[in-house]
Amino acid sequence: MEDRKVYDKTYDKAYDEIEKAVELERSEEPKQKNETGIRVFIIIMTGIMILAAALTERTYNGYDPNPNDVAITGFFAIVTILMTAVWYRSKYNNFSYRPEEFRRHYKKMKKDREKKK
Amino acid sequence: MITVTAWEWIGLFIGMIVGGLAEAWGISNPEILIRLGKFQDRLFIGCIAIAIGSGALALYGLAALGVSFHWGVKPDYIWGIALGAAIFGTGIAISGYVPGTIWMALGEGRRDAVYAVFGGLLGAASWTMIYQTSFGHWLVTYDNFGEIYFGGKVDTDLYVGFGIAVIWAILMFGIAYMLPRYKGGKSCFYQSSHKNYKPTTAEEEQNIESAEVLQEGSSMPMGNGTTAEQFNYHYTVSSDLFGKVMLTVGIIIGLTVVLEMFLHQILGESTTFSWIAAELWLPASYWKYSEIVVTTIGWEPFSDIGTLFGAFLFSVFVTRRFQAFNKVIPPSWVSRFGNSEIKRAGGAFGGSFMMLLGARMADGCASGHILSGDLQMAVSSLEFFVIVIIFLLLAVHLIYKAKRSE
Repeated sequence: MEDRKVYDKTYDKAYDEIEKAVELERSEEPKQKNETGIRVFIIIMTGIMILAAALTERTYNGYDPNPNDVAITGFFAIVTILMTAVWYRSKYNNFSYRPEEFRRHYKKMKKDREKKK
Repeated sequence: MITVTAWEWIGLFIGMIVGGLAEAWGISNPEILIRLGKFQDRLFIGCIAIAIGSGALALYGLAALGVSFHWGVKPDYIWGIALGAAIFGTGIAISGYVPGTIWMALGEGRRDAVYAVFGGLLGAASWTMIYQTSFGHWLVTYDNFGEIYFGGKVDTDLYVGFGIAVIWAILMFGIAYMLPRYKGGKSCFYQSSHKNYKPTTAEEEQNIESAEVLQEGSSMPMGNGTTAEQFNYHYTVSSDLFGKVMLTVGIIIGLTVVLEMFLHQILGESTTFSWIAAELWLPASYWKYSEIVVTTIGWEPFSDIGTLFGAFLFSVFVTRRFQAFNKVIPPSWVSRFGNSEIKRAGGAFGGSFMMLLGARMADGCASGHILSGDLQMAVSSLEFFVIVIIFLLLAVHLIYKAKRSE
C-alpha cells in the first residue's frame, strides 16, 4: 500500500514522460502518405477472392472440399498480401518500426528526472 | 430440431472474424505466447477464458432448448493426448506459435511465419506416417474413453450439461476477473474494487512495452491521434480484460465458435496442415490418417484462409501492424539466441514442426481443443490444456532463462 502511494505521486510525471517519448518517436517516422490506391486494391481483391470461393464451391456443404477450389481462393489471398507488402515497402522506403527508438527517448527522460532529484 | 449445414465457402467469413479479432488482441505475435510461457503476460488465458465461458453458456443453453449442433468433442485417449500436449507445449515455447497464429502471422506479413508454415506441414505429415505404425495405433486406442464431456457422453444429458456449463462459465469468468494480466500488475477485480485506481508507473511501462512489441517491424507509420494508435496504446495493452473492447472481443469469439457448430462445421486450424499434406504427398488411398482427414474435414481450409486474410485486413486497416515481411525477431528470442535470422528461422521451423506433430497426435490444437473443446467442456480438451500449460511454462523456463553472453 505504501508503494502504491509513492507510485501515485510519481504517476502523472512518469506518464507525461511516456507520452512525450511516444510523440518524439512518432515524429521520427516517415509521414503517412496517401494510401487510397492500395486500400481500393485490397477491397477489390477481397471481393475477387470471395467470388472465386463462392463460384467454385457453390452450394457444396459436405466434408470433403475440392483442393483446386481451395488453391484458387488461397492464391488470391497470397497475391493480395504479397502485392500489399511490395507497395508498403516501396512507398515508405523499407520502413520498419523499431521500439529501440522509443526506449532511447524514454531512458533519456528518466535519466534527466533522476538527475534533477 | 433446428438443423442448418452451411456452404463451405462461408467459412471464409467466420475465419475472418476470428483472425481479425485475434490479430487485434496481438496473439499472432510470437513474443506474446513466449511471454505467456514466462507468465509475464497472461492475456491469452484471460481472453480464452472469457470466450469459453460465454460460448459454453450459449452452446448448452441452446442445445437444451433443442437446437442441433455439430459437436466437436475429441475422444479422450489419455496417453496419446498427454504426449501430444507435451510436444505441443514445448513447440509453442520454441516457435511462439500455435497453428492458428501461424496463419494470422502470415497474414500480418511476419517473415518467420513462412518458415513456421513449412515446419508445421512437415510436423503434420510426420503424424500421418506415425499413425500408420503400431505405436501410433496404440497412442489413439489405448485407454480411449471416447467422446466424453463433463456431463457424460457427448450430446446426451443436455439439461445436466447446461447446469455444469453455468458453473464452468462462472469458473472461467472468475479466472479472467481474478488473474492479473501482467506480472506484478493488478487484476480486474482489484481495479474495479478500487474506484480511484491508477496504474503504477511500472504497470504503465509494461503497457507501453507491450504496445512497442506489438508494433515492432511494422511497415506502416502509425501517426498521431489515429484509431491505430488508440488500439495499440490503449485497447490491446490494457490490463482491464473486462473493459468494453476486450470483453466484447472475447464474447464474439466464443459465440462465433457456437455459430460454427450451429452451421454444422467446426473451428479448427491444424487439420488443414494434415489435409494439405494428404493432398500433396501422402494420398488417402494409402495413408489411413489421410483418409480420415479428407473424409471428415469440413470448411477448415476455407476458414483458415479466412483467418489469414482477416488478420491481414485488420493489420492494414485497423492496427497498422502489417510488417511487409520485414526482418523481425521476438525480443525474448534475441536476448537468448541473438539477432541471427537463420537461428530464428530454425526455431520457427523446428518449434512449429513439434507443435503440429503434437496437435495432430492429440487430435486438436489451441482452436480445436483449447478454445472449441474446452467451450464444449470436453474431458480430453481439459487434459490437453492443463498439460500444454505445464510444458509451456517448463520449456520456456528452461529455454529462455539464460541470457545470451555477448
